[in-house]
Amino acid sequence: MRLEKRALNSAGLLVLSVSLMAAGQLCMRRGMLAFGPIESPAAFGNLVWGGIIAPMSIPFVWLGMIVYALAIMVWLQVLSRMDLSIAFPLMSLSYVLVYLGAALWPALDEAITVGRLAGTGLIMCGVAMVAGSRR
Amino acid sequence: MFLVLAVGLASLAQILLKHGMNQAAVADAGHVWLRPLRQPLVLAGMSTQVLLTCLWLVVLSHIDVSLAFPVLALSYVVVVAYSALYIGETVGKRRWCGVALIVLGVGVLAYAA
Repeated sequence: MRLEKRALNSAGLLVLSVSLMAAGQLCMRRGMLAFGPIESPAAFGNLVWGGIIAPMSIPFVWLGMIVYALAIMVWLQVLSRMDLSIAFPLMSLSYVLVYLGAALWPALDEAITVGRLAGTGLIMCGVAMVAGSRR
Repeated sequence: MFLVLAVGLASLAQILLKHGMNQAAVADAGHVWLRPLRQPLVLAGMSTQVLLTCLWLVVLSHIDVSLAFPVLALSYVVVVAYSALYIGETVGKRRWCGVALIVLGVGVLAYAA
């Protein structure tokens, strides 16, 4: 009973962390959409200014980073409770959440296609297999 | 070349974090949410992640993100192999199949137009 409760807690923390990660990514993307593409990021000056300093003027970028930092704190808790060979592959759920979020959030408006849905399905199958594997 | 390095760094970051958290579990001092920040290995793992992010920006300035991002999924294979070989986690066929499906799925998700 105790063991079951602990497994449930770990699963909950993992889902929380992965959801926060996805939410953080979506917010950063939303922010960078408002910011616009960075001019020739290969140039170091442009990279530091355009990639790090200037986007800080956008609230969504801030929000995304804060949410992402929270995700990492929760992730550390997950790692202390779970095998790495289970926890890390399950992080791929964030790909699915990011894709669904990007497709459903009107501001991002990314295309829903059969190919992408198929990829999402494959990932979910893999996640289910990893999560269900005792070893 | 940079891509190989990126996969290596992404894997290394997780491995360092896991080792750090294993130590934090033993150390048992301080608040459960703050304890990790006192582990050198956890800090090393986070620094690796920061380094990776910088390298990633360089990669992205040369290659399309939709081409480059799925390659990162290969770090799942590296990390699971490491867990099995050096952390002593038991990884059976089922888990390996799951990882293979995930990598395949990330590839399809990324390359599908």
